[in-house]
Amino acid sequence: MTTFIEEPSLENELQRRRHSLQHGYIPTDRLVVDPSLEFWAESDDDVDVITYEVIRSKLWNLNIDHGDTIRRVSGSNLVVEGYDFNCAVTTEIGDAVTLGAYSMFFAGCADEVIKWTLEHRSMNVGVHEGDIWLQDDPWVGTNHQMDVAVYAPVFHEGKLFAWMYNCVHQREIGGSQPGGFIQDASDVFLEPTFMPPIKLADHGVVREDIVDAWVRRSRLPDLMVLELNSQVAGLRFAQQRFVDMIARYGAPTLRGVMRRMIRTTANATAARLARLPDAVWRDERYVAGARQDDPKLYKICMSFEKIGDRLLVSNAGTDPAVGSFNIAPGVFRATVLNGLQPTLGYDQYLCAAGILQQLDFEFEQGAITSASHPSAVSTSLGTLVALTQAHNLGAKMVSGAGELSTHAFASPSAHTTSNNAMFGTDQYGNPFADLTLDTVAGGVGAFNHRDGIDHGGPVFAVAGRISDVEKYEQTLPFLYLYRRELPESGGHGRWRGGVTFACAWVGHKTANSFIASGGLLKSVTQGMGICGGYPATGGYNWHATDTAVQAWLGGGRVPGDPAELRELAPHGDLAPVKKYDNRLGVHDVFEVLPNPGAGWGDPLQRRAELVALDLRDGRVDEGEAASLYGVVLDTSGEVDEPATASRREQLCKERLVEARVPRLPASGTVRVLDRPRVIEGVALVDVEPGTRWFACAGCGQVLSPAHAAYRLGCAELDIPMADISPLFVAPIRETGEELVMRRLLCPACGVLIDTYVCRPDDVPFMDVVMRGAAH
Amino acid sequence: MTAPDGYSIGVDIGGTFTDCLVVARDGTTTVGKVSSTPSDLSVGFFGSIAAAAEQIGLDERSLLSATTKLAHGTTAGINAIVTGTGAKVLLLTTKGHADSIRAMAGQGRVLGATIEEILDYSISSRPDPVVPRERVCEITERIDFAGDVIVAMSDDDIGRSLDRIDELGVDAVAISFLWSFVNPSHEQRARERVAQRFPNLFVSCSHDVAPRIGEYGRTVSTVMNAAIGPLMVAYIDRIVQGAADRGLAGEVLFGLCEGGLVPAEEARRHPLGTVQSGPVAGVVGSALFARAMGYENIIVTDMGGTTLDVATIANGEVSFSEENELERQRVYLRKVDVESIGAGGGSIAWVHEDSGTLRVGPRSAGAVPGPICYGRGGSEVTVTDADLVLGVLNPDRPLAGGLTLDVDAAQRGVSELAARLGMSTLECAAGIVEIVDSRMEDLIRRVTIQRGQDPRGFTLWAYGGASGAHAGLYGRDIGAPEVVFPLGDAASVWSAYGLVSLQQSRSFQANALLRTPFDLERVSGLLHDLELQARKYADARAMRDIELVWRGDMKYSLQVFEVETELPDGDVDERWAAELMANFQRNYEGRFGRGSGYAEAGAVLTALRVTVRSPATDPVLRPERAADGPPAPESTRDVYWSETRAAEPTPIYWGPTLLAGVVIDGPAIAEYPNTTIAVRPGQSLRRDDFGNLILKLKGDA
Repeated sequence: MTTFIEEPSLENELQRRRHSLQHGYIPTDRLVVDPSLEFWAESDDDVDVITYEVIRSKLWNLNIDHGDTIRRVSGSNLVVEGYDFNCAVTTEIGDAVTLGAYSMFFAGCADEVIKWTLEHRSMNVGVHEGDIWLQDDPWVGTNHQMDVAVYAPVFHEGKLFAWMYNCVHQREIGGSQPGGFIQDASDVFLEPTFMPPIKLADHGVVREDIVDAWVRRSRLPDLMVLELNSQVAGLRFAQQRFVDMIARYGAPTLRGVMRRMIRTTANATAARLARLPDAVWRDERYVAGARQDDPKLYKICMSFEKIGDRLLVSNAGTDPAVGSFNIAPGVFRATVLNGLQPTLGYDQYLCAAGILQQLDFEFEQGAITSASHPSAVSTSLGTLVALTQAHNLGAKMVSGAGELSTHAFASPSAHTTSNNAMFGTDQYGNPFADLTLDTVAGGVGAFNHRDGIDHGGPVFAVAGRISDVEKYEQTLPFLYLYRRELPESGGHGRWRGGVTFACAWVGHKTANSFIASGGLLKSVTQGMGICGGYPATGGYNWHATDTAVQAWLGGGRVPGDPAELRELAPHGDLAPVKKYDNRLGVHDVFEVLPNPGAGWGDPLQRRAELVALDLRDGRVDEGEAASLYGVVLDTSGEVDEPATASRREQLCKERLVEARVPRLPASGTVRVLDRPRVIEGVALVDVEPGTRWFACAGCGQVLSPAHAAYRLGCAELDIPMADISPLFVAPIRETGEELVMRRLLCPACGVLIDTYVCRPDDVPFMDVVMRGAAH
Repeated sequence: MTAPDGYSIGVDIGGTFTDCLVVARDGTTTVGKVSSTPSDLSVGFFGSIAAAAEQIGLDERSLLSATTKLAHGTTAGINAIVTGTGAKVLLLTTKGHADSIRAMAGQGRVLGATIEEILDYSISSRPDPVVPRERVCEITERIDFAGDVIVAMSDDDIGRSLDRIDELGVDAVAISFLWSFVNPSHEQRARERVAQRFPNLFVSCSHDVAPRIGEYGRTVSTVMNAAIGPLMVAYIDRIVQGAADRGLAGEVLFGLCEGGLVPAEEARRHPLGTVQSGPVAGVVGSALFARAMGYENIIVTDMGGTTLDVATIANGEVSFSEENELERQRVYLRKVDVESIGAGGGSIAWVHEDSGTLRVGPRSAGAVPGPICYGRGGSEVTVTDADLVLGVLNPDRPLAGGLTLDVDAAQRGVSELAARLGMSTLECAAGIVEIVDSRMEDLIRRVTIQRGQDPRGFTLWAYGGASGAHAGLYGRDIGAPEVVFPLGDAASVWSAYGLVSLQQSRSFQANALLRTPFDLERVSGLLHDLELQARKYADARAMRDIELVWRGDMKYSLQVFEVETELPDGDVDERWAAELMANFQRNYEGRFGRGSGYAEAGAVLTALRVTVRSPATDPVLRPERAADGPPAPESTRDVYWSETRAAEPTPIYWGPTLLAGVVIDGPAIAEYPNTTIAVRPGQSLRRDDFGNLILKLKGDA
């Protein structure tokens, strides 16, 4: 990305502002702020550990209560049930000391928004006590236009001390399609109008002119007023609580604790990073769903370069922005933060600034994950792809790192997201626009020591939930035919991914109602397994119009699962991709399969007795138990251990017979016991000074010199995606291209070291490169 | 000796002790405390009554034959839920929705989990479904949000599920269909079919147990009710029969978590309602007792070994919550609103390695292995260990039950933590207490300020074993003027006291979805039906001087949270509707803060409710003998006070010797058999004329 090269100064503020609004704002260490704005300087940097813990806990609780206040006032089920919002407490310059436990990347943008406001508004119109600011400009820092930030400074003795921040997904802010997820937008001008930071309140009074301007474009202005009210109420609450804390503990102490929280988190993050070998971990993947009429596959890349105790994050190699699924650079940064939180910052009350302190970013300007204005950004898809990728890469990076690896897990739900926004006339005769959250339900991916968590939800919505069927049916004109758990849905592996359900709707008591099949092309799954684990299905949207459903219901028949739904409507099919208005009238049915979690490790290494239980619970069928897991059961259903062992050995051999031989074969074995690992299955071995090898961590087979790609020393065994399980849709149906899951095997023992999804003729990319090695 | 008539008895069974409180007509109280008897709780139940009788100088039969009211708060139900030893339940549910108890509305990972567990996936989990898959039968049927039958119920499916009951040998049946709380006809018919074939099987229906929107919580509640049904029926019968055999003059009444008493047949029908009735009785008893003493606004805190429970009483009224979490599941249960955090005497202090900072909780050592100083194998420092090291707890006085505290072991534990933090042992111990008290303060703040109430206008009430040592700190920090330890040492049997003071009460509810302007004819009809039900109940129970309390659940059309609102008196007309809206708006703002409601879009009435109850009788406050001089400390020991950052020789008083009117200035310690009260520097403790201890937190300034 072309950064702004001139030395930043007050004089070039306008140029910098234009540059940031064009290419996206990424804060630097040095902010240029109008000198008339005074910052509180005094800090007690020697706060004792007791006061530290007391205040740290209070700041965390302040955020929770801030969130509760928003939920109480807000009329949005998305907020109250779905927790589709977040809040943050930041330092005077916007560094977030604690985020709320809700939608993580919302608050991950808090520092960007506040720093931008300081750098570009402090001179004109000024940042003052009693201000409340409003903004939803993606290039300043928000996921998409609907995620609206409202934030306010806290002054102490006339000096800027801190900021309180919240960001809420507002349901209807205008634009060419109700709800604002513009599936076929070619640029941002077709999407809801957005605003860079603007003063919502002056001297403590909310400006009605701004409120009018804000809600005028909405189809449902009453909702917007209410959502704005909830955000203002939350802020005022948080401000008051914070002012009380200054009074109680003293400004220097409070400041000292906030600084120490950042320092402590940075230290913990640094210590964790320092335990990893210096290397670059890289992910490349295909994604589809740029626009309705565009079935093409695009490449999304991310790399983590670990040097000492720092991590350099880059999106180099990502295709240029296209269609409607892009994100601005600041959002990319927030998603990486979110993705790394479970592995690097799980015990720090979400102190974002501390983690960010150890991260550096490099962007390729104008790419899908670092889009420039006016690329379309409203669908939020790039956000979830980047988050899924960052999370997966973070998990892979720590997968060989002892205790730290127990915090990692394979991709959780919402990895290949669809959007099922709805609009039309509701059962009360009123217009509506809303969104169900069934589509982000699903399982947490597998860990390296246990199965994933069934219905555990996505990693971006820490406390998210999907609400009850009845609560949706009360407000939306449809009936749920079923929410049916699919026990077989979790990704395969040594440990299984958590399962998801499928759900189906029929329109009910409505004259006209529509549902979107928006989002990514779900046949191109983003739910990658880890360390040989299988991917999880990206799911599907399935639609049938003019069915006999009313005759069924009237005659006492309810389609209660996916098979019965297809019996009801044999003419049904995958919903057209990225269509925002699939009819959901009383004769139409629509089904969505959200994302289960992906698997971890080689299925042949799954404990055989667990496979026997899987069979009993419907998590595998007999064929899978035998061929995929290599388990032999006796007539009573008990595991036949010797037969299982020999079958597994046989299957490994068969794999190697069937597999493509390594592209760059290496030979020899080394001792791998106690050697550091770059990923779970690959050890790094110094054989003699200056000679380092990558070797199979299981059998010691040398895979490649450490300056090269271990993957080129692996045997390769490809399998078409649709052959993994019937829950996978063949990518060729949606994209016109076949994709395969590539299994990388140790050429000696046949164990699965890694899996990824690619075109059949792709050469494996280098997923681990030792620092200093040739790129 | 013949007993005078008119004893009232409350019995509360806890995890460790069974407490009995006998109140004589003149207000004299007598405590009977015995160990709980988990294998058959009724043994402890009658044992505690016998123990109290002995104190009074009566035999058990004489006491019971003079007892007109025996109120019982039981933990039999909750114990079965917690230990998973309830009945084997078969669930009948709507076709397509058997997995609602598996999907848990997406909340399974989060409900009831600590924030540490939520953020750190390596320790994150979710509970097993309340019924395994093989014991769930789907029934073809469907009702919609308006109560319209969309798909008739399949008799064949019901027939098949009846066969399944036979096949699996289940002990109880739960029936939970979508929208049954709007139209219960399918559930009712299913129940009839079950009863026809299995007349003795315990059956619970969701429209009856938890008539509220949200199939996940409603189904869980119904299943839990069924799971504890058979054992509760047997238990209730044992208590009722045992009391009758021992000559009880009055009848046994059972405490509900809604805060009233019901006769045995009601408790048998809805056993889930008895869950947590003991702690709730403590809150309601506090409200009554406080009112008699002239306090209208109090914050009730109960700090035990593992949790702190907090409830507020504003203008003399408790508030209710309809949705609760139990064993990490969503449960719909109308319950006096008590919030909890995992912070108590057993909370564990630890050093966070990567940051070198001190943390306390959320893990607890519980009662076993317990704090290090209990010598039961606990090896991690707890809050109780810190209290002991600071000198607040007396190393030489055994706890109730005879347990002696090992101060040296506690010292070693705290020193080891302190060394890792570079602090002195005493500083570290004081820090542990400060951190845990700060978390308690945050919870109290949440249940007051967040509801538009200012804790500075509230008096703190404190009971439970660990409250005495800590209330002076968490009370000070929320700005409360004083802490009341009700009835001194009787605070340790406070739930039993609360049970005695409860009255019979039972609520009836009608669900609605009425938007403004309300259909007043419909409202009037619903109210009429409710009144008939309530009066019929009262007549059948021969309840006298009943009062009917009318309430409704309301929300703003565009908002989500419901608020319980009192219904106006008089005819249901325009005036009535206007007054109702005014009440609602006042309550909404009272609960959620000024400006939180959005009235422009109108309101919705989602439920109407009548509670029929016997009027509460004020507790008798019996003046005590006044002290005739200043109190004399029993001894002196060094106690570390964080205010002065020093261990100072501190006077120690033996509580039972403190008589009415005495005042002790802090720093001081008052020790009772079951609790220890720390009077911090600058605070003072007074015993009032009725046996309550009042800790004044601020000076006269």
